[in-house]
Amino acid sequence: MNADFADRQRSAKSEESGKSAKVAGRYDLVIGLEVHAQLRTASKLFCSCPNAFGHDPNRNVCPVCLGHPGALPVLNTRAVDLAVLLGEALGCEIRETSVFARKNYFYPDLPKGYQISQFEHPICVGGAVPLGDGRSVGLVRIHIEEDAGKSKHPEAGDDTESRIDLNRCGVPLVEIVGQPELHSAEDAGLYLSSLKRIVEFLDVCDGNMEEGSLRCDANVSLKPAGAAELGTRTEIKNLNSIRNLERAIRFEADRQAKILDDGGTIDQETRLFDEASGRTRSMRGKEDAHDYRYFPDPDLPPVFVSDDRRTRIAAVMPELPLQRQSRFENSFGLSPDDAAVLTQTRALADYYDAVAESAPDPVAAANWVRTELLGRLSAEGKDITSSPVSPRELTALLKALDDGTLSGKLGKAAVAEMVETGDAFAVVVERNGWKVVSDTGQLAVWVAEAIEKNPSEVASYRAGKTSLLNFFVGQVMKASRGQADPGALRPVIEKALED
Amino acid sequence: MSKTSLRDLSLSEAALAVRNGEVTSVDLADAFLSHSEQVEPGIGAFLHLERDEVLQAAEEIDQRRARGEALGELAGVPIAIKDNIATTGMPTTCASRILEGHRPVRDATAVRKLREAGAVLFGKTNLDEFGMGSSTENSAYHVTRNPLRVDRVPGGSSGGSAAAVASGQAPAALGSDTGGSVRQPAAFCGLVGLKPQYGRVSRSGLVAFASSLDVIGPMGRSAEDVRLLLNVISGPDSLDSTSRAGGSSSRPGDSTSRPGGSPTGPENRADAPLPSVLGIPRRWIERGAGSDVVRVFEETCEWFRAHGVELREIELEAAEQAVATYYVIADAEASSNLSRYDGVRFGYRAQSAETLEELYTRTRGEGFGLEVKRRILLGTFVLSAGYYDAYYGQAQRVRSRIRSELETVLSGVEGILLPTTPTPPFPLGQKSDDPLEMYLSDLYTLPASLAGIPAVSFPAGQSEDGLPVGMQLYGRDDSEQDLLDWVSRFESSTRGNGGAS
Amino acid sequence: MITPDQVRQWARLARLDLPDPELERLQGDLDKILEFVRALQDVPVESGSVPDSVSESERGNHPLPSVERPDEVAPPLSREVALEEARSTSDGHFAVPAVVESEAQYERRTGSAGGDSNENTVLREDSDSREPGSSGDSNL
Repeated sequence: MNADFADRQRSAKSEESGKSAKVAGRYDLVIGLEVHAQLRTASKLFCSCPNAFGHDPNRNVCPVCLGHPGALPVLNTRAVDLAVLLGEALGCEIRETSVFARKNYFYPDLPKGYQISQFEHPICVGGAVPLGDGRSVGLVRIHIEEDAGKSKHPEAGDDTESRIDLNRCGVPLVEIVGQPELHSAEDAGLYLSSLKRIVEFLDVCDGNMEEGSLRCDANVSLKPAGAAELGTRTEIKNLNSIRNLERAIRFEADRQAKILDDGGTIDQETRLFDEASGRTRSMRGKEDAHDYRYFPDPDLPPVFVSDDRRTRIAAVMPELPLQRQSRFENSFGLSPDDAAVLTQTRALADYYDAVAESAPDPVAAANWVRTELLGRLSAEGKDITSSPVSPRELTALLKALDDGTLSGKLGKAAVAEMVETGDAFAVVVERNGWKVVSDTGQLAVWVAEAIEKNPSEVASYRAGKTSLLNFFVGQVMKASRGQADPGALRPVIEKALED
Repeated sequence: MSKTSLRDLSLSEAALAVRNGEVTSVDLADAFLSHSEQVEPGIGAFLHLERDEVLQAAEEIDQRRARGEALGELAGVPIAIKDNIATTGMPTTCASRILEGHRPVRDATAVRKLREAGAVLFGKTNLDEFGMGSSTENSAYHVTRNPLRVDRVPGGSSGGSAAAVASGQAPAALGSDTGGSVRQPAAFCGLVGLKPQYGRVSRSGLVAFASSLDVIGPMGRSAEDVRLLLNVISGPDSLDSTSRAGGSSSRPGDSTSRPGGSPTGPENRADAPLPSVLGIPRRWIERGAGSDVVRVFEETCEWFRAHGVELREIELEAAEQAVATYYVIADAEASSNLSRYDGVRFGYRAQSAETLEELYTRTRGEGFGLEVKRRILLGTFVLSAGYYDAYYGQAQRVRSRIRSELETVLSGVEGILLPTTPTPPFPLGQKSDDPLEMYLSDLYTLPASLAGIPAVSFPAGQSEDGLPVGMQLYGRDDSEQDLLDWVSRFESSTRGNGGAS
Repeated sequence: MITPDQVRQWARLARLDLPDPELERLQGDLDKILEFVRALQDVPVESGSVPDSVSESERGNHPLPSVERPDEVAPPLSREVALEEARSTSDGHFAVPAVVESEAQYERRTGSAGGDSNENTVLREDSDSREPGSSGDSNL
């Protein structure tokens, strides 16, 4: 479980929000992100092959996605619905009519020699990504397109062929094109983590950057501080985590600043981020012009999204992360920070919702989920989606804490053991013989023991140092292995010491 | 029945004879195969025809009948297939080196429907490579000769299908029409050829040349044979987003359904009504067509007039831009459609390539013929940055004008009568060195292609020296059945004398 | 007049190897054809945007609402069939001559950055001036 969004929201807030970060004081940094998100459909965008890859190569392919002669694309209705859902969530204008176009270029992982995308008429225009701190970043557009396959290139010199796996070919993507309205690496990271959180909450995309379900390119440029006109940009690719996005932007901003400082000019080019060195390097090869020769795909009629369809899709909009965050604050009384952490992913928010629904104290529940459960899961290399502790079991534990049948100390131990073993709360309690002892007879035995073992503290207490009461409580808790009921224990100790 | 008379049966007669057990599918196939063995060497209609394969398919039909299975409306009838239409179990090469040996993994939808109707696939016919041409001289494998006069071209690009039927090797065939490729060879070989409305027949499995124009069309000896084939192969298809329902075609498998037009009528349409008004673009014809063709056109006009049809002169201005418009749009689409032939997944692959670049350029350089390269280059240019709007964009705008012009004209007349070609079949080799000359000969077929409307070519007469001359009828949306009705009437009153004269 | 360099440039975009005699011949043909086609530019038309399939004019060919299929999975081809006609395969993959960096560099790998990190991701440069809405439009 990474805590990208909440962390980033905190760190972005600690900066001068809304103002451009100055690079070496002389330049304004301008960043625009293009994000590709794989849509969570069952089948591919234009054929019925499973939308699944990463297994055996060339297992999920058919004449359509292999580009066989005579095979034709037919649009997956779910992909359109998901793009509309995302567009609605981000406040885009949903175009009644959008058009698929062909982007022509040759590459071995592009079987047809063209990628079907949207060009002049994208499905969504405008909109904005809210950053969660009152700011938002505008969108240019969102369009639907098909993914390419994967090429595996030989390591330098050790092979003579590249190998092509076309399983990913035709997987549906949306490309979310942001306005160049970001001005610091931190804000770029916050934007990407906000967007990631939104697509996950909508279940439009699984948001997994490591596996490439969510991918990001960054356009970065500098302009003299305060200038209106933008400088020449570079486009950085291969940014497979939010951290790397931030690293790449910082490096690139410094690199461009040095060039400009020396009176040089920036080449408009594509650069590749190298994770190991933290540097970007030019991908420039031949100066061969690219000319994608876009034209409307004659195999596909225009996509038509009626008002009625749009309304139906918007009507089943799941609660968005920021809505959920504020509901957690308002309905459950959580602190903004707790609410942000617990809405980090939809799975976590769903988990907390399930716990909070029947937990006696939602604020305490938040603390237990956030601190104890997530901490333990993380220690075990797990996250909330693979949590062996169900919301129901955690709720049982919270109830025991609340009605005093389990101490906080034992509660923590119980969480640890439940995460480790996957056993139910009752099983763990039973196995350890954990129960709260409030019987004054038993308590008195433990107290008498503590008094006998600590004569000097008894003397000090009786001399007026009543703060030592907590010392005796601690001694008894220790002796009882946490089972003593602290509430019932205090009067027993007080009485014994006064005697 | 003698072998000759077996070959003379109409499609519905042949299928009925097979269904009734009067003749076996094997007998029928054998009659065509035997004749083919005699005439094919002088014609070259086929790229692929295997006797055993055909007989085996025929045998299966006979066995199904023996088991008492219901057979479809093409039971046991051999149908030749243009080699740009995907057939499993047989090659599909588009007459291109680049697809040498390619065997599709799925049947084209039209082929599947033929098989379901009981048809026996009768080989794969020659064409201009990828459908690019009007003479079938652009085949990578061999030329096809016109069976009616072997020093003449059979037309193209469905020249193999036309020659197969005209030479009596097959009773009917499927072709494909992008800018006239069914109608022009039908006219050159004395056949009826229908370009259905765009989308009427699924393009799934039709190897794409120009996706916004391509349509599979039937070719046969009579309007009724063509109608039967159309009824079998047409209909919306979930594998082709541009296919569509229309007319009364939405009853798949119903042999009496009539895609594109008026309600079901009798099998014999000889008494079907003729249109009350036809438009004739006389000035365009007089300007563009040769004397033989103009004469046959006037004779055909006379026949319609004599049968109570009012002929109204119309002007087609935008349509005169069809040639330039067509070549820009078709080649733009072709340049993209043909990008998939890269030597990686199927088809030809250059042996000498050591780098990826060489693999691409050599595979495509060696695999495509000259005309295909010409089209790809032109199509690449008209889509390229800086030229897109002036060429592709402008062509789309003119296409819109052509479409709306025809729409307007056809709201006032029920159909348009015009020649299919400006001349009778030309000699082999005459135009093969002058692509523009070849392109210009398509002028009368292209407007219907650009507008997406149905059009039919039918034999209407002969030139002075006995070459076939075809006339064409354009129709409104969903009017295929009407067009075939009118041709049927024309045939019934002119049959036997070779035309309207 | 079309120059040989123009024809070479189109051939390069279309990945067509053209031996000199072919190039010469095609140059002549294309020159004639393009001269003929240029006449289109004098045709009076409604000015404005290019009618594509979205326009009213082509809608005749495309019934509304749009044609879409349900999101249902059908069995894919077996790998044996998928690879059957490939002239070169390797370990269940299609195989092509190694994409060396100088070639790979100018090829854009469309949005594929961030694929498997254990693969040697090769990127394609993108400097297309016709791409609308890339944030580059306003980021210059």
